[in-house]
Amino acid sequence: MSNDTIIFNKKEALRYFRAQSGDAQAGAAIDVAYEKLRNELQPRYTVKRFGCRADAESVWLDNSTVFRSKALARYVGEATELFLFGATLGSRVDIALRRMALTSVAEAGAGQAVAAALIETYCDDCCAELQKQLPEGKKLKWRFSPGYGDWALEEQKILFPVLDCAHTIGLTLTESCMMAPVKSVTAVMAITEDAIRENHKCQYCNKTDCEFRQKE
Amino acid sequence: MSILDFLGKEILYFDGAMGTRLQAAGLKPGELPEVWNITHGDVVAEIHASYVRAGANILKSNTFGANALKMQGSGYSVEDVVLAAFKNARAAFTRVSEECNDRRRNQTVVAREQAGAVCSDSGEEFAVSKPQDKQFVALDLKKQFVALDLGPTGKLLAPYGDLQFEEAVALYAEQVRAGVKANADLVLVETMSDSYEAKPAILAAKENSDLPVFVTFTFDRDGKLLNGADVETAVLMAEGLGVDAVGFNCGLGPDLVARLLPRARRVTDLPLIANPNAGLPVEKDGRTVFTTGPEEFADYMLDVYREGGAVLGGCCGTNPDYIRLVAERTKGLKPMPLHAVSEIKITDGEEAKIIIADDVAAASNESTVSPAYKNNKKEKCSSITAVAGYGAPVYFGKKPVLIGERINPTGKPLLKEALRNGDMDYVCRLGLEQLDNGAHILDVNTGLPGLNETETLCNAVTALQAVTSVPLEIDTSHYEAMEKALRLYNGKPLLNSVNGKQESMDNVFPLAKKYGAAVVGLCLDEKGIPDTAEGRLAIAEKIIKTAAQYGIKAKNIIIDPLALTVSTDSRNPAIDLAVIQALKAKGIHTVMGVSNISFGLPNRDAVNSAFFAMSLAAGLSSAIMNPQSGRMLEAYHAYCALSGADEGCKEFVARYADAPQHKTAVKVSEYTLYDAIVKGLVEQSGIATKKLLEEQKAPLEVINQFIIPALNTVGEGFGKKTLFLPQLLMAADAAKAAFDEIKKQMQGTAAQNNTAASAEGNGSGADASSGDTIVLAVVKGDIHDIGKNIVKVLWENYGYHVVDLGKDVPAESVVEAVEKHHAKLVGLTALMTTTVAAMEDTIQALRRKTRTKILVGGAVMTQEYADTIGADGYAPDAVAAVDYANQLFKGKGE
Repeated sequence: MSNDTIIFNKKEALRYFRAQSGDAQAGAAIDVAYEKLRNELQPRYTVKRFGCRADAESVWLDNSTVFRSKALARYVGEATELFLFGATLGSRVDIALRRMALTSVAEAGAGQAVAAALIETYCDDCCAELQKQLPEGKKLKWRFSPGYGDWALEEQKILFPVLDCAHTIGLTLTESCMMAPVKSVTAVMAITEDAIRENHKCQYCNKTDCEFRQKE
Repeated sequence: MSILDFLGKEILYFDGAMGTRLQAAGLKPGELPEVWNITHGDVVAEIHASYVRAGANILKSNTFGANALKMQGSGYSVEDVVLAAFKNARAAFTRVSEECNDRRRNQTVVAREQAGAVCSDSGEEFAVSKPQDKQFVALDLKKQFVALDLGPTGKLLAPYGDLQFEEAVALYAEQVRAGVKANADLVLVETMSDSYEAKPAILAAKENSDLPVFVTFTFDRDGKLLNGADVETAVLMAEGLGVDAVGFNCGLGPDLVARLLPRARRVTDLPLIANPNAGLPVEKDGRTVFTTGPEEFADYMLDVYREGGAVLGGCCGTNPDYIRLVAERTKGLKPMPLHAVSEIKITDGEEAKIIIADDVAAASNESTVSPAYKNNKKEKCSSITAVAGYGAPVYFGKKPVLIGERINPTGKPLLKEALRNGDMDYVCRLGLEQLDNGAHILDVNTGLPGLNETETLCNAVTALQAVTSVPLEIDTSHYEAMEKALRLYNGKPLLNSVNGKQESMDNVFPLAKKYGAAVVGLCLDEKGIPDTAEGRLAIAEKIIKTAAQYGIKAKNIIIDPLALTVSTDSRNPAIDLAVIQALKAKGIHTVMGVSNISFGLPNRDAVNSAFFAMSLAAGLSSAIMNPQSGRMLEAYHAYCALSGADEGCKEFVARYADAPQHKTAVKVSEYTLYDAIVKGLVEQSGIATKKLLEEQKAPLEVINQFIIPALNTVGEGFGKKTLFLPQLLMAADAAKAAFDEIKKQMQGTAAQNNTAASAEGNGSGADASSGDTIVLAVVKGDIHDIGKNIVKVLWENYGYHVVDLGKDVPAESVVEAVEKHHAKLVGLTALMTTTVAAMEDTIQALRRKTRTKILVGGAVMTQEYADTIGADGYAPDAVAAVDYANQLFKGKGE
């Protein structure tokens, strides 16, 4: 699947760049980086819907796939359905980022921040689209990705074949479980009853010293 | 009979989807469809049979993902699965033939007449259908082919991912050998959404079988693959590699494929394949839905046929109803004439306009061809000369092509040093600078005495192709380096060069043929360079004729008349111009290293640019030149404006209208160097440094009094959180600009003293003698290098000589570099939890063989973890890495 455009959220890019508010120079660097990346974007996503159940330590999909993670199990909770989701900005963005890194570290840093903001916005847009397709009373929870909490990155090796994202959107996994293209996301999104109040996503993460950690 | 007996002479029909139909039959997500060849053979055979009944005469074996990577852990070997797949496909043909025979036996004449079936008593052609089918489709027993289906590996090839090129060749080769054993009729490389991945698949097919090879790519609606290659590039590359048919599958519906087909037709005369989806896939409720029904699909497939589709079928979402209707609608039609394409109007960066020739107009609907198109001159597509990386191709013969010459170590001490150190970042920067200045192609020559040219050239090609999609000209006379670089190259290569010597042609042409290169042919032979135009033309003719014996078309030979200096013989320029004119008249393209004309003269730029303009006017197709030379570029852009190649002088005006005519006054910096660095002002930093040097400050003074204190200020601010990452990075860039200025000055001084070799090669660190060496690497398996790059620049700014091994570096390479450079410090980074083990392995390997200090960093690392895996130090950020190094090497920055 592909959406044609991603609205660039400069504020988010500045946050990823760790710029302080009002830093005009950082703002200019972000603008330059966005200009260099915007024509390289080839965003795509793929999604598959499964029935599921969770016990204390695992999540079971109805195609007999099992993910082992307490945090993921807690996230899925009582949900009986979930989406597996994959999205990527495409390999041309990686190539452009490498090109930028050759000439300037500041540009490279800004480029990374811009790409991070773009993939997040793209995922948010895709999820909003998926939410629209859900029946009344059903709600799509935020994205829970391998690497969050105790959900090991190695479980990407289970997720990738089920999602078939190499074939559909060109998103591949390296031997050491890195995604290529790099600017990509895979995630689980539980489908819950509207009434359930969500825990904030940072509450699932053990990295308490993270500078991006959001307070509840 | 071979499929080649029918290909392009009549319409052939592929089957439709297998995967989506297996899912409908119960295949679960994540389950391997190929295993069903063994576990559910009858289901697979029946799906095949349903397509045969619909009129398909080429079945795709159910082996799309049957490679060793995907079959791992399935309990079956690649060969098991491929053999079973072919058994099912053949069984389908047999099943339908038997149904046919039964039908023939049972059918009464009356029934036959009622059904209107196409039945032949010759035994070759029967009407087939299931009893409930109303319409019968002819089954031709001579045309029953099974294609060995090769899909993508599911991995990205290096340098974009981690699958090595030869590993990919080996994976496909295993499938091909199994296909040969199963008596495959052809190989179909399909659903290639990365043009680069098609190359190992095609090579594997060619190197392990004599089977015909078809290739189909999966483009997006703009005609681009996931790696950025466009239709023309993908088709040119596939044609170059010697495939028998090329085309489209998956991704798009037939309407969009019909729109893209003319773009394929304009660069190839191969038969074209179209296996589209049943429309664009739409995600609905987490499930993929296809929106085009069989009737609409078949209607659009008529458009596909009109645009040149000669092999028609379907992909995801299609079923036998689709194929049956396509076969019916195109029944009795012959493929459109292959040469019925047209002139390409190449305008830089714009889509070429497609001009449909008269015979197409005659064959298709006359009214759809605009009169404007008909009036244009015809040009057969087979005469189009083009080369490509993995973006858009570069065409020869219209607007003159600029080939950047600077990646060539002759007379370039800094490049020599970079090549010796394996510093491919330097090579890449040289390339990018030339592209920024307007080069269309980059010449890559890494020949240096004492260096392994094969390795260096391949590394340079790979590094350049990791950052740019433009075509490269592989420039070497070393045949092994030539073959390896051509093999690895992503796209349709340009090869520099062959000459008229038998030995050269014997070695170069087989490689050019195998890897589909366009070749530069030099007008020299065993007797040297003739001193007449006739003599050089005779050699050109010999080269072209000999190439033809190898199956290389004249369009793939670009002749270099060889510019010899006018200072030794005033006839030299006239000879070149005469050769260019004569070849132009014959439609042969030319290339020339223009600047050789002025060798031995003063003010060479003046002579070069005048000769360049004369050569362009004579018809020179391309020049190997220095795009950094303003005079040459002026001559080029002025020529393009004057010749009409730059329509309306648009480019000329865009380039020169706002450019300062002459820089006379030297801009005076408003900032001190210290301030410029602290504020992260790159340009000001360079200017201020230049000023200090002009004031006779010694480089070391500039470093110690300005650069290091400024960096310290920024580092301290970062530590105290009064300055932040953007400021740190910009200051690093600004300091780097200062070092570049110092380096330039030192290079100049060294050249004056004729001791160039002593003053270079220590990265940005200006003072070679003080540059303690540090080896830096992202560990094996990890491909995230932004943190590593920041540390590198900061270390270099503090004068360290950083040996940057890049990312995904094996432990043994780190050990080797530490030993080679006697490095006292190694920096290792890892971003992800999955690669921390590799970091530990690297540390252990270093401990076994060296006494170096080891500093670790990266997002996943903590002090505790660093202690656990036995590192000497942990740097939470780049500034901490600088502090660690400064302490280790004593007193720096204090």
